[in-house]
Amino acid sequence: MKNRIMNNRKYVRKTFLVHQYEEEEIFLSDMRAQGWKFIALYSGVPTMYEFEQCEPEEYIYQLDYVETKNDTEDYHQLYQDSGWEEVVPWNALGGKWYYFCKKSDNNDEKIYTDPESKIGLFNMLWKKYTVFLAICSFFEINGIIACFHMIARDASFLKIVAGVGIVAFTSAIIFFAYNMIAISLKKAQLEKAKKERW
Amino acid sequence: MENNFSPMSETAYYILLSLLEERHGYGIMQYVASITSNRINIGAGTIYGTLGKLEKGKMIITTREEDKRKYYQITDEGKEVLQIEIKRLEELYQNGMEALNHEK
Repeated sequence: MKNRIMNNRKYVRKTFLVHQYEEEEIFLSDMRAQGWKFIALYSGVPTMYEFEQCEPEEYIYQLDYVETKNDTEDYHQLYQDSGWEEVVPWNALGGKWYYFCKKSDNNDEKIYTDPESKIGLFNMLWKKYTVFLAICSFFEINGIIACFHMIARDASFLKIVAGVGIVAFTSAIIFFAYNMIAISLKKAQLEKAKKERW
Repeated sequence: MENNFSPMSETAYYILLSLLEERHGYGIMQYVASITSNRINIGAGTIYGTLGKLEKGKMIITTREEDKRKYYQITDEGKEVLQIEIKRLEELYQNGMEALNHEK
């Protein structure tokens, strides 16, 4: 008789922002060491991580972001060739985050091994955030203008719609701006590390 | 000629060096690890990013794609930049050896 064994599942709600990828990597690694294997991610505030019970193992988790145009077969093949197992993709800002893992073997292997390339990654993310910030600002300004027109005409329902829109875009702007500031700080840190090498 | 690859990172230097022969990304990682006796193990993310940057800067080109792997090789411009860098390192080395010898 074939029995489908459904391993125990665990769900953890946690938010990691872009610049907190190192903490996220450690989190996933720690869970694996406790016998929980990361298998899926669900959007939400906070984000929800799904784990499947497994043998406790020392595994390294690494995150990478790649724009859609660079998300090519050779990208994935390169990671496969160098021994990384792909866990899940995560859509974001016209590209994807990929979660990779590898058995640890007591070494602290990273996919980014020099400050230049890491800075390059953050520069790319910075540009993406800038674009989204600009788009949100555009809608925000339009929304505010529309609101003023409506106040003049006293169209109450449309005022509410515009009001909701403004709140939504303001939140988005604050979110993107916060991320951009955090990314800048991270980049400054990396630039400093790069200079110290010479 | 604007040289924004000088001074070069060790990674960029070794990638250019590896690509005097046609190689793919993983091949570069293996070659660099072997010629540096495992001192330098370039990560997959760094390789992918640096290859993109070098290709954009016309230091290397994609020669072909086979079995889902992209193969690259150094360009003439890349060779020039590499030679300039090797000269710079030679100067560092020679001055270092001289200064140490003088100290004796």
